Amino acid sequence: MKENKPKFKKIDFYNLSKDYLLKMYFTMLKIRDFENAITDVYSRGLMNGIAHLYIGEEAIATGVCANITSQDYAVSTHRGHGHLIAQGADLKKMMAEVLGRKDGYCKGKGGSMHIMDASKGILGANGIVGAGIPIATGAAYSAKYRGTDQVVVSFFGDAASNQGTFHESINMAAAWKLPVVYICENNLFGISVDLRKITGNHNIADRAFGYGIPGVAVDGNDVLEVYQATHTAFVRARKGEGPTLIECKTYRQKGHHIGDPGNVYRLKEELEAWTKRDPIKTFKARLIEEKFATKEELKNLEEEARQLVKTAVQFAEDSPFPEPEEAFEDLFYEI
Amino acid sequence: MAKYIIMPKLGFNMDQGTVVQWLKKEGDTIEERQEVLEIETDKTVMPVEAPCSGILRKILVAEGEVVPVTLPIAIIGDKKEDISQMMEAAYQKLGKKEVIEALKEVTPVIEKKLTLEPRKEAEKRISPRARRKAKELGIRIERLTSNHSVSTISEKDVLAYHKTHQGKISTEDQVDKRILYTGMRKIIGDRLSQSKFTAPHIYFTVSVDMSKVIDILNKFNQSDEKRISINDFLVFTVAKALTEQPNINCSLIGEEIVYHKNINIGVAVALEEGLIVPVIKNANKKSLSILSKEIKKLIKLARERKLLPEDYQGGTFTISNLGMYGIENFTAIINPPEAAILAIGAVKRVPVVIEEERLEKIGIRSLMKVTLSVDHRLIDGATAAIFLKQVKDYLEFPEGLVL
Amino acid sequence: MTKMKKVTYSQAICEAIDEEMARDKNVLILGEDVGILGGNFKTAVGLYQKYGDLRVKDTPISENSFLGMSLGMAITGLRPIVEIMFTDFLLLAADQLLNQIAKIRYMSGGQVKVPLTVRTTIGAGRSSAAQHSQSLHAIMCHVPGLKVVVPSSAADAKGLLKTAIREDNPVLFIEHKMEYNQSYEIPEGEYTIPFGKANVLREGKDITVIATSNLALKAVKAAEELAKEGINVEVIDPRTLIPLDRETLITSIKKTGRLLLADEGYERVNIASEIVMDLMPDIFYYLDNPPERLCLPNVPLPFSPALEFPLIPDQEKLYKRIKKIFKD
Repeated sequence: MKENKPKFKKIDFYNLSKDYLLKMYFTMLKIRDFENAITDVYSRGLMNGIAHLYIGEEAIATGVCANITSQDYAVSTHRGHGHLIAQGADLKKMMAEVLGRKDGYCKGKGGSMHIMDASKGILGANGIVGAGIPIATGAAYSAKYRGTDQVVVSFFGDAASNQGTFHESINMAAAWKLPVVYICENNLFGISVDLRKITGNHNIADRAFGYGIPGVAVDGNDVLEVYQATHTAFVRARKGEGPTLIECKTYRQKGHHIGDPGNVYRLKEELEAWTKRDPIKTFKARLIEEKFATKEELKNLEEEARQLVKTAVQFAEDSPFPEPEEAFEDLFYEI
Repeated sequence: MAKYIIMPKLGFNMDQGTVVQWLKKEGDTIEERQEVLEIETDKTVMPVEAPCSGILRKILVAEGEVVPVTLPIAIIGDKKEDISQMMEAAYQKLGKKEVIEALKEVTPVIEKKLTLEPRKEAEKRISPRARRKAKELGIRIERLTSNHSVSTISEKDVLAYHKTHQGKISTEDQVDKRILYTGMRKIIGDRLSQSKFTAPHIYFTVSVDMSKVIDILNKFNQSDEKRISINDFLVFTVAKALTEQPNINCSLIGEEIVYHKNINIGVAVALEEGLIVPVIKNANKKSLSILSKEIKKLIKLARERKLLPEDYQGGTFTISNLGMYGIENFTAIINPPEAAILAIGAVKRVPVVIEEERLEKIGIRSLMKVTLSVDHRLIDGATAAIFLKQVKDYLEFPEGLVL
Repeated sequence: MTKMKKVTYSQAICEAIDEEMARDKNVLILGEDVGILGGNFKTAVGLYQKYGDLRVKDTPISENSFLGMSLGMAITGLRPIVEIMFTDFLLLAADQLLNQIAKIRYMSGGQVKVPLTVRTTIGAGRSSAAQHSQSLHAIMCHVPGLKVVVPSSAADAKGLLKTAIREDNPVLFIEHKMEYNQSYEIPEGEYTIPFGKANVLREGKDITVIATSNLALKAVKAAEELAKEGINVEVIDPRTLIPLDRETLITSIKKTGRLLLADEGYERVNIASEIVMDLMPDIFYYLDNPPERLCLPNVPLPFSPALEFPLIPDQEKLYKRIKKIFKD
């Protein structure tokens, strides 16, 4: 029986330099290695709370954030490590934050679900499903108000698309032509609940039509497709033509959070099929096959990424815990 | 390099896990992140991935065994490397844990029988404010009655009682008056305690013939409107004596004895709340009349409670005078961080032995006893004695002050 | 002597917003009907014509999201004022107000500040019934991260609102819907009133009345009546619930020994309970009577005036309650 090989367009089609492509590959490696490191530190009892892994969805963060400049903003979700890394967040400070240390991005006050790097325009991961969408929309209003050509990316999942804030925010963004790009990471499940069972029309991109804005669904595991669609949306936004909805179809290779095997509510065959389409593995194969990079070059990048993550973990483990008195700081801004 | 596979902590509340099934056996080649075994947490069955590539050299824990999180359960390494030390370490960690559980003794829980006795409802109720007032005025609460239809005694009732019973309060009605040991009194009290208990005090007393000083002052005070007092004269004299005996003008600060360059003399003033000591800065550089004016001003401010911190800080020597109460002599407690204090007694007309033309006879002189307390850590007997003698000499022969 | 002028409460608020928008080009106002209509309570009259569509924004009925949007604006350089018609509707935006706005600075370890003002209204008395008449400010005080301001008069409203807009932290500004059409004297020209300073509206020595919003003004009127009968009432308007001016309140209670708090929230979990408990360690030994509170009873507000009015705390109820305390 002929095996169904995933069908991708030729890399040439996208007109990107080798440098750019390798940068994308490197970003996906960093995300994957970081998330694996999270599993390790969690298993060793160093990390408290809950961790939501981005493994299998790296192509979306990478492809979208390749379009983001240092002027733009992005608002993320509880599954936000990938988005932060793709925007250039410091791995050391991220890992320290996740371990609750003083040197973390948020001085240990936010944790995995609330990491923010305001200096890079990363307006934070968010622990409430759908809560980031209006915040991103407001940042876009602010850009329009101030007359800049900044663009805001609003990341959210398929489950969030059923939250009231999705509807209200996209409606206002459409009405006022705000420069926001809505990225729906459709991994088909909201914890254990299958999107297809609880949504009337589970092609989320279709909803765009209802708001009068363009919407498109892409293969979320093809980093170049994601890149391409986002690029168009950014051009639109910068020209003042308003928001776009991009649905990226993907799949979680692990459970919803560490400790959830993710197999009670999902079919083994579905997981296997998606794992075969692993975004990093397939991109690597394409790069080599179409002679954009050698196995050696890619191996070097893999080593480099691994080393970066290792350094980050060491930094975090060496960082001290904050003092109890610090719990009372940073509530209000005082002059 | 060989590595442990550990029992992973996969949930915030997870303390231990059970090995359900080994998916690989000893000797198998493992890829990094490949699933090696399945464990059961408190909630579900989860796969465990290999942390690195290599050969599964040793399985340390069998299927069905329960292991606490983060402990080693297997070893992955190269084919030929020596893992005996790792195995020993691992077994030690694993072995210890099992023993503790068995040794836990179950102690019987004795149930305490709770008998709640209903609190006796007080016949009279009194508000917190009234209770406070009663305590302050020294009135027993049992003596109070409420004047209202509501049976709670209020502050008004206490004040009314106090008014009508003023002067007629018998000892049965009275309770000990209580006020909190706080505020200024406590601060002064604590400092004095600290001084007395830390600095070894030694005391020196001399009797000073004040005749000449009294004479001089009478002459001054006839012509001058503002009276110059004995106290003012003492400050002037002590200041001069200190310039000549600077070893007295010092403090122990940390590990150092600091000999102050300024001579700042404090004059103790008694207030209701306690003693306060305003300081005359650079007393040695001021004339007697200026000193007198300044001392009067400071005392006035002190009595009005208007002294600023700079007025009572920075002293290097203190003079305390109880002569106006008729006290003949007393020993004063050094005012820290100073090293000495001079206690002045009353001037008394007393019989003394005087020598006149080689014959001893009795005369009557105005004698004043002064007692010097010094901190023996900083000033020894001879130094103190010399200083005190100097003060006495200046007082008995004031001409010396002009030199 | 400051020159005074007569305006309505809503005009005073409109002036505050106008002055701040003129002063700082990053200040904008958004909410339902604030644009062309000038606000449902006339608090934004003329602003749309003056500042344009981008700065005076009519929103759809999406409280949670447009409040969330104002947060996005506040952390990217703007100073938004959001008008939410009633505290009842603020519940729709509870996530954005209490989980996001109140917490984002803290969770980010101080990376961002949130210069946001959320204006809303409390108060019954218009037969608006159970879902449009609530005074839910006590709920908003519970979650740390917001400053909560409750002005009593128009003069205070203007000065406090200007401070709120200039404040670099999220402020919940509570207006009283029955006051909007009332005329008051306010000082001419620009002025601000700082947070954390209570206002002693009337001095007295027999009892301290701490009253929020327009109840403070009603308490003063009740006090004037009581003065004729020899009861000397001290009336204090706390002005800001967070931060609370504890010193002024404690000094007063130590003087009088009696305390009555008046607030239009429901009696259960009223802000009065919180204030008493906050002050209790410092006032217990000075109390001659147990502290009392005058609030809305624990029932939803009924529609019919015959049912509604007897429930609402007002001047007469204050008068009667204080008299009862001094019954002996």
